[in-house]
Amino acid sequence: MNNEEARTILALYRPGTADRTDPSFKEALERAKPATPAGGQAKPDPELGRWFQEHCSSYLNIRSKFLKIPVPPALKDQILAEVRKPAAPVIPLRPMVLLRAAAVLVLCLGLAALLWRSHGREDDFNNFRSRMVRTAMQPYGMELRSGDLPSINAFLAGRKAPADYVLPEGVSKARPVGCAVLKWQGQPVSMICFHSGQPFRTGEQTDLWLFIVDQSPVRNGPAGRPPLIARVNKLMTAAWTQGGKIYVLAAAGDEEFLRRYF
Amino acid sequence: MESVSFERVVEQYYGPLYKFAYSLTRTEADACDLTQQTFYVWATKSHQLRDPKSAKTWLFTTLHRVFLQSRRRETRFPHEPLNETDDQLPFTCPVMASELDWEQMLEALGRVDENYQAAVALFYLEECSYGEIAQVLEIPVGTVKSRLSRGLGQLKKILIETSAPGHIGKSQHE
Repeated sequence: MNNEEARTILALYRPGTADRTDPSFKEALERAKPATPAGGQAKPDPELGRWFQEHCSSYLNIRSKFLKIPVPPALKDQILAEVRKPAAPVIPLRPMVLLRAAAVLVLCLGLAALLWRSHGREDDFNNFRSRMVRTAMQPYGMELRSGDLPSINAFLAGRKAPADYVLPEGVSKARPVGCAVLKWQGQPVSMICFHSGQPFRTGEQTDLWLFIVDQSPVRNGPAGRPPLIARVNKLMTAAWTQGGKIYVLAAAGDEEFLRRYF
Repeated sequence: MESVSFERVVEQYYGPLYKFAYSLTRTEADACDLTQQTFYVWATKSHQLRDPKSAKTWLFTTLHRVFLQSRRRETRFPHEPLNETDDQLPFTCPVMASELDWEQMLEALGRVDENYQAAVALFYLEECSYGEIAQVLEIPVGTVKSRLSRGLGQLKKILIETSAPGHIGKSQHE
């Protein structure tokens, strides 16, 4: 192995990791490290050693930048709240009980299959609405902060997200705060944030979210204009279809609060 | 799986998974969603995992798979076959990296060819062996190294450009 070959191999070496014991690095490491044990087959090369030290320093430097990516503090609680599984029940090992349990299991599987066919698909409207509510509840980056709706529309159009939407009368009176473009099933979704006018709680920047997506990729969306009201997680939502687009309005209030916007 | 152990898995991996997701999407909302989706899959399918020690690889593989599925729907980028040998091998530039912050680093990663970004992110973020990276990306170890060589080479060029006089500044996120 010459120096060039050793560099080629060591360029992928990561100090402080399992690479230390990876046999594919062993010979190249022996050439580069000054403290090669006496009697080793490879002779350490000072130039390669210097290069290797720089490589390790560069790796650790860049790695430290990646590790500084801040994790939203509320993310863990959000995950646990969303995906909390019930503890598995303890089943007594008596034949009749087992038989009944098996029958219930078959029934549940049948029901689950039916539910999956009607609701469980990834491109189903329920999944879209849940995902949008999750986005509203978790920390998100508002890509444009603006109280000017034409500026917001220009931004959305520039990102190829729905910008030719129609606002319900009540929503058009709310104060825009900003917007962001999300992705769902590969489709751009416009998220426009508003302030209802009620006092914000600590840390809040918006309390009314409108999501707009083209109707075509969404299965089982709302039939038409009268809004479909449903509580999803901690938010109340209203969903409707208009002009080939699906709208979801989400707010941290009750049904009466949300109906004021229509 | 009991609730307690689910919490333990979340506690242990939500941070590293989020950072990997952010490296891929560079959007906080998408990274949060990708991380949540990964744990959702874990909650529904982790019973299929025979060896609990492979939880980390399983989670990272799932996250990467979910990411690729969403990207494929969005745009079909060419998946060119890669040679095992490559001429674009990275060399070191210790100074330039220290001048940049994490946002600029991720911005630079975002300019690397999409096919190499995940490998480069795992190279720096996670203390995975090359075998584990190969499992996560579902490609052979040789292809991992090939992608890394090319990806790191591209990253190096971008970092040099970014660090050049007149180019040092804050990223567009700020």
